[in-house]
Amino acid sequence: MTVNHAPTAELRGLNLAYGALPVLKNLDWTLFPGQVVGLLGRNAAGKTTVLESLLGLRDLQQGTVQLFGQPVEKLDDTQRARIGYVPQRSDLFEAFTADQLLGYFRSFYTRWNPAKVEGLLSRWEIPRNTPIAKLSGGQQQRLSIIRALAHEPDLLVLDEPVASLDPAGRRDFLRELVDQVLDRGTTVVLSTHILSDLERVAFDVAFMRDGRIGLQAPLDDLLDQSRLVSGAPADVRQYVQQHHAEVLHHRSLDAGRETALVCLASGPLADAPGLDVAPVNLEALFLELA
Amino acid sequence: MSARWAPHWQLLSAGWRMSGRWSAFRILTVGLLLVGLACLAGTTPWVQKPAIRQLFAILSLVPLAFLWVLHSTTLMRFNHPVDARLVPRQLRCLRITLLGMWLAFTAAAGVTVALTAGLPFGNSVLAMLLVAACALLPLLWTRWPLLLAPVVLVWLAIMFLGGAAPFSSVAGVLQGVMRPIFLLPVWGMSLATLIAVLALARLLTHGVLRAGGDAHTSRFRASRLGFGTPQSSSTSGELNGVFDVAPTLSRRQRAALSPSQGMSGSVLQRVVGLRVDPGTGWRMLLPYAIVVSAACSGLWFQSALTATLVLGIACVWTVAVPLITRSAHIAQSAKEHALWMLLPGMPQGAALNRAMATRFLKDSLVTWSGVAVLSMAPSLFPPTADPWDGTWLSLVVIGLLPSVMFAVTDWARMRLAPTALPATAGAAWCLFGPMLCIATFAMGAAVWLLAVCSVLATVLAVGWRWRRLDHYPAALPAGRLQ
Repeated sequence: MTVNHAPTAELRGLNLAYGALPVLKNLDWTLFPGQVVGLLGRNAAGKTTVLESLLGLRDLQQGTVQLFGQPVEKLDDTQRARIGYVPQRSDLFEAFTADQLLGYFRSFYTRWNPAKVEGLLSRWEIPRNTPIAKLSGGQQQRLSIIRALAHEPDLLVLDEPVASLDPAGRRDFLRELVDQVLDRGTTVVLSTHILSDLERVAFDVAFMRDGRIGLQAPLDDLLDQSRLVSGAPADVRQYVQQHHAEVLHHRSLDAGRETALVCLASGPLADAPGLDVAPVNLEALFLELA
Repeated sequence: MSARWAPHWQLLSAGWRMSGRWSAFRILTVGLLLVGLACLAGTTPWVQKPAIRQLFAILSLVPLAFLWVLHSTTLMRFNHPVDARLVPRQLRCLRITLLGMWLAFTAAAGVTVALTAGLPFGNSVLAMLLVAACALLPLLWTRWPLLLAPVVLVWLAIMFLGGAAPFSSVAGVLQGVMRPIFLLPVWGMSLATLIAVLALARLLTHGVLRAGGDAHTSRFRASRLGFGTPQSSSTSGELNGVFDVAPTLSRRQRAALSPSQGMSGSVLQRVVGLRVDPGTGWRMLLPYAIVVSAACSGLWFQSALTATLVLGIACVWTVAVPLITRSAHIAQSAKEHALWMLLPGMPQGAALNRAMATRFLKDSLVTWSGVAVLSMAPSLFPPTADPWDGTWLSLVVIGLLPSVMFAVTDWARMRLAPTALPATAGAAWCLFGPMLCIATFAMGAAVWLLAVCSVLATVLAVGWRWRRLDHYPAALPAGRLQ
């Protein structure tokens, strides 16, 4: 994926607390056009808060957010039309039917893809003339996704969009997402706990921990170059020095052992004597880094 | 429809379109229009008595005001905090549409008032300004509910302490400020009016409608749930059901749900008291009592006719609002109903229906009785030097009684919306019933006969609906069979 260097979104020094509870701590984050970033973090890590701050839905307590080069609190209509958002729980006008809801939102956008809307409504079998309140949770979520994709946004923010979709629905959605990215070079930020989905679509992953983005890197590179090294602390340190590895995270185990998640400077290496060196998958990365 | 006007049309017609083909919203809109037109027809010279003409003229403002409140509050529901920030032009279109509705309502109501009262041009403009300001009140109270308290306090102070030294000096200063405005030439008066309208319009578009952010999100969610929510709650929503909203309950509300309360009072009474019908009827009686006191004090109303009109409207309002808010509360709490049914001690089936009907019927009767008792006060303490005739007010009260029958209803088949049938039919009856009584009285029927008929009609209607309760499906979860 070609990366343009004018950032789509730039978050600088974000601090946000709910009462006495700090959630974001001096968070910096930059997103570039065409990036597909999976945002990972444990429950209550602040993923939704950071996504809402990114979109200007939260009042910033400290820090700045720029979208498409404009301060998020002063976005003009042209830039707003470039944003698509699927919240964690679809919050649609429930007395509308699907057709009425889409007709309502269509009136606000100069760019609207009716063919895509028609295609998705048919493919996802969403009743057009049934009040949204009577649709199932999955159907409501799909409608929320259609509404976010319909105006072909340049920035798509998805906050756990597939939580209420069945596997077939998730696959359909991910295919649509990939098409969107390939066709238009859309910047996508996707927060989810379903790691297999993330592995299918995300080019980059960002791990949230302690109120900031602890690590963001291309997913393939992370999976190729990361190793979980376990053994005596001295041996682990020696391994890191020998291979010019970067320690991403380490923790002590019992019996005087420790384990370290390291990122190797070069390609795969053979095992080291006295150490357990194991390749990692995304779940292991999540457990160590999030 | 051009692209420029499409969003406005979408917003303007949203309430109409969103509620289904023969929805209560549409029925109510058409009904209010018909009642308004009927009342306007009553103002024609064909009606001989000037007092009745004036009565109908003022009563035509009631459906108009209902229409304004119904449609403007529906429009406010589209002021979603996420859309306000992310959907281009949405907030601006919403503001323009609401502004247009406000101007249309002001013009219609202002012209009605001016023509009925035969006001000269200058006073007509002032009347319109007054109508414009009054039209903002329900929206301002929706936006800032606590505003009601200082407004009532100031009003009370002026009512009862208006003659006291500090207030009379304030009144003198105000008169001193106002007098030059009244003496302005036409262009000056026009400019002052324009400034006032612009200030009100600014308040409407930028005060009532919000532009997103934490406070807006918090308030928007609270209005949907019927509870205040902490600012820390997520915009996308983590509140889901009674367990999630529990942290937002007040100490008193938590205590009511606490197991340590034992089983004093049934579970249903506690849950319903907490979430569905938290004393709206009682609370509505307080403002009515204030209006009655003001009428009796003789400080406010210049004539018995004005006092009758204001008290009549206040009467209708006091009885209608609990009917409307009850449906709204049930709709807002719908997602919790399944959880309520799991509570130990919750009645099931027909017993649940009867328990709910008893509770709501009792509340409605208490409200109506309170209104009836308070309405006797002006007869004991006549408000003005005019000869006070309490007949008209009695007719309004008598006409309101059958509205209590809407407390007994099939909640399982109710549409989950503030404009559900019990609310709309009840509100419509609150308008129609008094007018029917007044019209019948005007044709020669005696008041005692109307009272007997009203009581009989109420007993028969409630009895008929009560017998049907056993055949209705269990009331909760409400709206599941709609």
